[in-house]
Formats: sequence, C-alpha cells, structure tokens
Amino acid sequence: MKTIIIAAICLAGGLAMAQDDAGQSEEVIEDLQIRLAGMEQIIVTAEKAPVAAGEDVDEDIDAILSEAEALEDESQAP
Amino acid sequence: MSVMAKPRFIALLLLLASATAGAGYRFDAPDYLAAATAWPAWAQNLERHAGERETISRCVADESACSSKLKSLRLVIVKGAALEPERQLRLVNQYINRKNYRRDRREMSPSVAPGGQAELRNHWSTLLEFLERGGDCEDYAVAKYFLLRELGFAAEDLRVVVSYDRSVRAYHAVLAVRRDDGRAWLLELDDTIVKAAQGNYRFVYALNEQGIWDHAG
Repeated sequence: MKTIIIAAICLAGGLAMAQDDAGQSEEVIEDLQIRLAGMEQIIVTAEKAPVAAGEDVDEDIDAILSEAEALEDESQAP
Repeated sequence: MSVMAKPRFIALLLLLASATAGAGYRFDAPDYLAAATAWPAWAQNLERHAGERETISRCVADESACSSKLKSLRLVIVKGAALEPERQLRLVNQYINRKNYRRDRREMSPSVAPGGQAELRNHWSTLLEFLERGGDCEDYAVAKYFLLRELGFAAEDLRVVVSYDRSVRAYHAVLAVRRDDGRAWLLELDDTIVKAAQGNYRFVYALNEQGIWDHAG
C-alpha cells in the first residue's frame, strides 16, 4: 500500500513537471516566432555603390572576369 | 560615488558604448537563434538552390552540358578553383557585383508567425535566379554565399548579414566570411573587402544554411 501511494505521488509530480515544461516550450516557440517575424519585416534597401577606385589590380582576376563577360555577351547575341 | 568620479564613470560608459557600436562582425557572438528551416522563405530558397546544384555540378564537370548562360559561371568556378582563398573572395565579389542591380520584386511569402497571413516581402534569390535577373543587395550577398560554397568555402565560415547602415540610414546586406585568424571580412557591393571594423554598421541578423543569428536581440 505504501508503495502504491509513493508511486502515485511520483506519477502526479512527474505529470505536473511535464505540463510545466510544455508551457515553457510554447513560450520559447512563441518568442522565436516573434523575433523571426520582426526580422522578416526588415526590407533591405541600401543602393548599389559604384565600384571603389584605387583597388589593387589583379591581372589574373581581371582576365577571368573579361573572359566571363565575353561568354555572357556571346550568350546574349541574337 | 564622489562628484569627481561620476564624469569619469560616464565617460567610461560612453567609451565602451562607442567601442562596441562600431565593432566588426563576430562569428563567435552568442546570438544563435534557430535552425535555417525556422524561416520559411529562407528555407525555400535553400531548397530551390539545392535543386539547382545538380545543374551547376553537371555544367562544371562537362562544358557541353552547360547552357549558354551558365558558361561564364562555369569559367569562374573552374578558374577560381586554382586561386588562393583571398583571391577567390576578390574574384567572386567582383564577378557578382557586375550583375544587374534592381530593386527587389516583392512577392507573397509565407509568414513565420503561426497563423500569419502571407504578405509582400523581400524575395530571396538563388544563385541562378540572381544571374538571370539580378537583384538588390541581399541577393548579391546570397549569390556570393552560394558561389563561394561552390568553390569549397565551408558554410560555417559564411553568413549573409543584414545590418543597419547609419551613414545612409538604410538596411544593407553583405556577405561575411570568417578567415583563418577568426576575423570576419565583409564583401561589399563596391568591390571592396572590408577587413576592419565597420563603424557605421549595426548588425541586425545573419543567415546561412545552418542557422539564423539574431544580433539585435
């Protein structure tokens, strides 16, 4: 009988803790949703800046970019 | 606190505030918020890009498998693979920056809020969508992210970072790259790569395929 009572008390305590945890999980999820909703409201609007002058010239990179541009021009040719 | 000490205390607080306000981007900031899948529009973009990767991979492996529009991308990936990492960053930054800038088309995107209605929001573009249509600054940052991944940069070393630019009073997006010394370099739209603290940026949030970071929380 004593064993049954102790088991019942433990079960009741476990259920109470589980309910408490579930409540806290719901709060965490809601907080996450609120924070994400705030982020998605941000509209990025900064304009594209002109290419900065004075950058060191890298001939290899320039050659790759020139060749890529030529390929793009070919792809757009009628 | 004595009368003499108070101004010094306030000055110290102001000094600390100004120091942190212009601090460089930190990959190790404890601002992790959630998995990338928690933001539906971003997760959908990652899915679309995953679907495009096979097309890109086939093209890179065999030029004859490339559409005419993908040949320049293939060239950048193949020739870029032979460069050192810092020069790969310069190549990708300049290659993507040459694409057409256009204001984002707003489209109906699902809300992250439970039960929230779809609203007009920014559209996240994949690499191929950007190369086809251009985009605005977050699309440039995302395109650089995907292209650097093709060149072998690890996802954990790359983040699309949205910040508030105090100098123009607008939100701006850049790609942050973590270097070997742990510092973050920012790939800007004007071809510069910023290696020091950007005093005018207040970092708001960041994304990659592994997660979302909330720097404003």
